[in-house]
Amino acid sequence: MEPQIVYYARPEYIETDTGNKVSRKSVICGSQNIILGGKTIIQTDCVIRGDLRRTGVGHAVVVAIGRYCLLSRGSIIRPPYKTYKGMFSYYPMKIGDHVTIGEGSIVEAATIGSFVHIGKNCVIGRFAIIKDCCRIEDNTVIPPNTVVPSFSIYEGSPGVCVDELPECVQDLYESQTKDFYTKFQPSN
Amino acid sequence: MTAEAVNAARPFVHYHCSCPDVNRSLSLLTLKENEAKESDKKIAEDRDDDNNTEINKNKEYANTTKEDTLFPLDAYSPRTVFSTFALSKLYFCEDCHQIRCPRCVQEEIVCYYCPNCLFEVPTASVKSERNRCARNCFQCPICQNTLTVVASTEPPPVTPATAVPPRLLPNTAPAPPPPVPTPQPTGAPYFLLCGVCRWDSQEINMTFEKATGLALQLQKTEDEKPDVKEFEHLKEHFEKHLRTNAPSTTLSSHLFLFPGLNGFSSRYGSSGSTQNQPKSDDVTPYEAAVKVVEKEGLVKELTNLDNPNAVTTLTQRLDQLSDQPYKVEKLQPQRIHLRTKRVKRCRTCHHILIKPEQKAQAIKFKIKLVALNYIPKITIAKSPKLTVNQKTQVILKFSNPLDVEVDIKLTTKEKDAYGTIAIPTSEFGISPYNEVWEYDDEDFGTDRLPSRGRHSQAAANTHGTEGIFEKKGSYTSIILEVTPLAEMEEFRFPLLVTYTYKATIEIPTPDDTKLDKSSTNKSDNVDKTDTGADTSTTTAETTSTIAPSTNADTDNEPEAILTKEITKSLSFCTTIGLGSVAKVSPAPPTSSSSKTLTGVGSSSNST
Ligand SMILES: [Zn+2]
Ligand SMILES: [Zn+2]
Ligand SMILES: [Zn+2]
Ligand SMILES: [Zn+2]
Repeated sequence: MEPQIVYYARPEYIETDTGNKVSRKSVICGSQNIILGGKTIIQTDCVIRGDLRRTGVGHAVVVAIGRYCLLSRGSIIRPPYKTYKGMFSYYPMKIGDHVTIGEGSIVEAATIGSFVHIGKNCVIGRFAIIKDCCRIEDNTVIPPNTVVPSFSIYEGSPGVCVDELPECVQDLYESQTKDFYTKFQPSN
Repeated sequence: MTAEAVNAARPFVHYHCSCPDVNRSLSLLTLKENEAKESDKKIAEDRDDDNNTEINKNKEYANTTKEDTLFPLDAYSPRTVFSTFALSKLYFCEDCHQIRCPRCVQEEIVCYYCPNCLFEVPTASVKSERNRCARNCFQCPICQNTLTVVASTEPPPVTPATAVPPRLLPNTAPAPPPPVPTPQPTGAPYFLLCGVCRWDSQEINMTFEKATGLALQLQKTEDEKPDVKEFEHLKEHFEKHLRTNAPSTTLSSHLFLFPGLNGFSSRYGSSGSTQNQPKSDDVTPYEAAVKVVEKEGLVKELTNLDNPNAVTTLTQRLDQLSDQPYKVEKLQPQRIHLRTKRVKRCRTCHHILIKPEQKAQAIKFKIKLVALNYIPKITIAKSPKLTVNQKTQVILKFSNPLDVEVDIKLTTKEKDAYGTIAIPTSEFGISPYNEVWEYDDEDFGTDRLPSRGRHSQAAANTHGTEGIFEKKGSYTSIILEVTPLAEMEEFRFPLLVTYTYKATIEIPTPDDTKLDKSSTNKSDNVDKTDTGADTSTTTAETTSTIAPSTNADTDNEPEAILTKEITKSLSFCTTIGLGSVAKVSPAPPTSSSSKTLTGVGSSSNST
């Protein structure tokens, strides 16, 4: 099914020089610690916790998100944390290009590669590593520290590998994210 | 927004692959049902034949099937599910100029790796490690989550989460134990813990001295399992027979090759296994090495259980193939299965269609012939809800992945028991693909004004004979008129697509053409002393010999360049699903008008 044009209210979104579209109704904490690669969309009610940074270190990138990413409505990006040698600390998170995060999903991963699709209502546990070219189906829970290798489809709770993605998935997700960006238009 | 609502019965376009092998056996089976067994035999023989003869046979069968029926598949038959695929799953063989699907490609494993620690495992050690990770990667026997290594006695301030690093940084160092904050008592017995269901290996008295090489520490107990012993014994027994009977050394390795995920097909490609079978009659009787005594009271015990959770689930049982225990306390953590990267070949011509980069973590491909880049992509651009006996307009969008103009011809079953389908314009062209147009030029903000133009165009279409909804960039959208005749869960119909394009092929290198052409036509005229000295004249000569023939074909490019235009064409069948058909509702007359395109255009304008 051909995706339809999605219209948004022009006043709701801020468009940056590099083409990022960020909803004013999202909660972006510590924006100085967040990098958006360009042409990335952050929809209504999203939360990005750029303020949760490593203790003791000064200015640092907490959340780095690549190009043509989509944080759908109500998704939450929160850097992972752990206590190491008795010290509680947050750790940075990196998200690649052409990554779609579905509605209401919570992401606490260490890294998410490029060309990744995360469905709706997923939980990506702390320090999970999702490699390039992966698909996480709706309502999946990826437990903390899980490694999801490339070309996997994960599903369930806890998420397990249920299938492999076809070889052309990179082209597929690239065109999907680009298509979504071009069809995400102000309504007036 | 509407996409969410449609989710329930998602419309689809699936492409049919006329797999040469499968179709051949199918046609044989349907033609001569009585001789089913024989045809099987024949296929088995064919596999061992020369490639050439096989290709010829395939062509033969492909032709017969095409002549027999225009539509090789019945859209409503449950069997079509197995021969139709989403476009993304298909490959394209340039040499056969045919679509290839997962069923008609042949796979070869190029790399084994652990999906958790991502370590590559050399092919030589895959067998001895029984196809599983020989490091620290274990699967929870209860919930299949990956287990973590935990030290039992830890310095107080550290929470269990800290001991996790072994899995997090497997690539850097051989799993550092909790980084020795206190002196020697490092928390000696280690155990495996599941972070999801809280199962821990102490429950089954499994502990480890060191936090590294856990698999090695378990190897002894694993080797003593009856099924492992029995397999070794079996292998020993038969391998010596195979060695003596079969001079082909590949045989034994093929027999014991553990196929990875979907890796079975590679076995069928092996030759010679059947030829040697007659000799192997003289195998000495085999006697089991291990005798496992069935515990008698098990059924009684199980029937007397109070707690259903004490019995393993099917998934749990099948994950532990060695003994498939019924009691939860017998479950053991399993080493994680290795995954593979595979080369995929066309089974007809054996050319490579997919060749991944060797490294486990690389996502690039050295060769990637996917159908997405060769055949027109069909998407359902607009499909309103279908109602019985009501004519509804459906818009199909055809995108051209090629850098040349493509002509499309559509054929469908115009009427069957389920409904009628009309295609006002069944022949149309699609402009070549141009990456620049695709995203940058398509400005939807400004496009929304011209959508009035589209509106009027659509209106014009309803009057005239034109069934083209939109032609833009590298796609053309056409209108289908669908009238379902019965209420059903999914309305489907077959669509035969023929696409034709002109391809410019380079005529081989000048030297080759000289050999080909001049040897036949002009071999006498060519001055043999000249050829070595002046190559430019010889190329000019060869082109001049070829140019007339190209002119005759295409009357294109009078100045001779060493290319030639040929017309290429391919037909493929698709099944298109349009979702459910609603009952004949006492629909008000306005609803029918909203289904036409003029209505759609105006509604998109109003939003
Ligand atoms: Zn096939
Ligand atoms: Zn491993
Ligand atoms: Zn578990
Ligand atoms: Zn081929």
